[in-house]
Amino acid sequence: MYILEVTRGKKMLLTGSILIFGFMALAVFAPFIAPYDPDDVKVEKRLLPPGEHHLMGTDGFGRDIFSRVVFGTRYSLFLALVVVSINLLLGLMVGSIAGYFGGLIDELIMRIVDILLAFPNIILALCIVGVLGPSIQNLILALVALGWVGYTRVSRGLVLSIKEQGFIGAAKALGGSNMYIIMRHIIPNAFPPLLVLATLHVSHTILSIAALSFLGLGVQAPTPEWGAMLSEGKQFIFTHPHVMIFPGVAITLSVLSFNLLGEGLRDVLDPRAREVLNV
Amino acid sequence: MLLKITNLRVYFKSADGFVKAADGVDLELYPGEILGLVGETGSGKTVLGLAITRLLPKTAAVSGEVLYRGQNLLALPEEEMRKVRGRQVSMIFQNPLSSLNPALSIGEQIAEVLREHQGLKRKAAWQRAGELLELTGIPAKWIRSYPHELSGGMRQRAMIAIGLACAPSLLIADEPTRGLDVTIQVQIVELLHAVTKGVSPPRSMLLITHDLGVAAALTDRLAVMYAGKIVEYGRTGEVFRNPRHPYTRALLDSHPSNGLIATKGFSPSLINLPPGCSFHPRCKKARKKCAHEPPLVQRIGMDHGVRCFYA
Repeated sequence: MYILEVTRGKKMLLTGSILIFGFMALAVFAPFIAPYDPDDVKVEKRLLPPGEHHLMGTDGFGRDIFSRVVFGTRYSLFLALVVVSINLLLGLMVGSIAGYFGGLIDELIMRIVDILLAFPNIILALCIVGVLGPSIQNLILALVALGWVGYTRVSRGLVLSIKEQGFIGAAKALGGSNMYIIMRHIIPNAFPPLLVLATLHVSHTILSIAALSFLGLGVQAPTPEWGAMLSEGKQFIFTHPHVMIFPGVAITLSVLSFNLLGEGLRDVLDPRAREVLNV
Repeated sequence: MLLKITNLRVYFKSADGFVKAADGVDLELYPGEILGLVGETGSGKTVLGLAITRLLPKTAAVSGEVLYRGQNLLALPEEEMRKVRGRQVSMIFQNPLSSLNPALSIGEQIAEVLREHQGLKRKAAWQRAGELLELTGIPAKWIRSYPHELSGGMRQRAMIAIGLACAPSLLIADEPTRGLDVTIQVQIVELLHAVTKGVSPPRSMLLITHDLGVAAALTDRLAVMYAGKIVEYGRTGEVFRNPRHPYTRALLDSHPSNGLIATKGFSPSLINLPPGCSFHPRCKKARKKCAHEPPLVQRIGMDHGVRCFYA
């Protein structure tokens, strides 16, 4: 009921949440939803247009595109969530340490962050995957390598303002250790704005994963990943566009839903916006 | 003796010179006693409280001695000092809205302290948190409320409950009644009395306040601070009946019930203190000597001292 209360009158949040719940459901119940085995090659049925038996048609190997899009949700969504969670946690930890302790540690961490921020991230990701070889682990590594620095920078800024507040002094006066103060007092207060950032980053990450897979450096064929499906379909783009359209729509829709959720969350979590709504 | 402060000096470096927030403070606090520290804003009261718990910013230069049960707190390593805070000496801050964490419920905040300090399990800590809230007059069913859901008085009660969580022997309460309605102030004063004098053995408290009414109601002894120095100390009744320092007298006269007589002038800048007695530019009794010779504390009776030549 609380959820309904919060989402009432907030169309972006509601639409984003519903779409994401939909994608989540697709991912979890993929084997029950998909009518065919996504890897089932049937040469005689190749490149069928969307129709009664194949909702989204079939691809160049005669595999059912609808089933592949449904299974693809698992890769895109879960890889993106894993990457963003690692980035968020790593960035929050490092950023809190930098902001809380200040001085030399802060200086050191922030200069490393500055250097990493100067790298063009898709090129570094290409390098990492290129050197280590394409695999799911290396894809995650490539996206984490630079992904955490943004969170570090934002968390540090948040921590700098939070640590000057009265309750941090009060926690110290009660003998709280630095670790305790960071974990129990700073992080819970720094988390809401970071959550908005992370939600908006999920869509960004979905795109990066799709891009790397499209370039053949991410998830490998025949895995039904949306970017990889786009790549496989590009040879048929003029003759059988449905092979590319449906994975493309899936990417667009998932990116859109996370953007809506992020924007919606920002409105809910921003205390100033909230006060305006209550009045 | 529970706490003995000797020659405590706290200086802050500023662009214009040293700010002498505490300039040679001597104080004694006996077990089970409530000592009031009164003075106007900027007299160094809060700095003194923070110096005892060593919570001053790193830019503060602190010297002197703060003996707590014979142990010099100023010389303790930070890790040892951390164990003193909360368990031995606990602080209750003014302005509980900013001193409570807005992201945690009050129950969580008390339970966290208990788990961190006393290693209580989650359930036991919540149980104890509920008891502490009841003790301070907040129904335990409010344990899950957040600071913004509580009234000012309730927040101050919650602050006191957190301060008491680890059963400290010494409470330092910094303006605990500030910003509260008069009726609520009375309740907080009664609560503070109950958690100090009402427990056995009685708990000591250093009450920092500019409210003479609160000081009169709660304290056993009183120390009056002016421009970083203690100018008079003694039993509360004695100081109120027989104020000997001109500043104490001025402070009492300025109370509405005594006619709201304002003292001329302003309290001096802590950077450029007047030579001699810091109070002499505002003092009615000042003579030549006051302008160039700083007075020392004179004992004028059993446990009554005054920093004035002509007391």
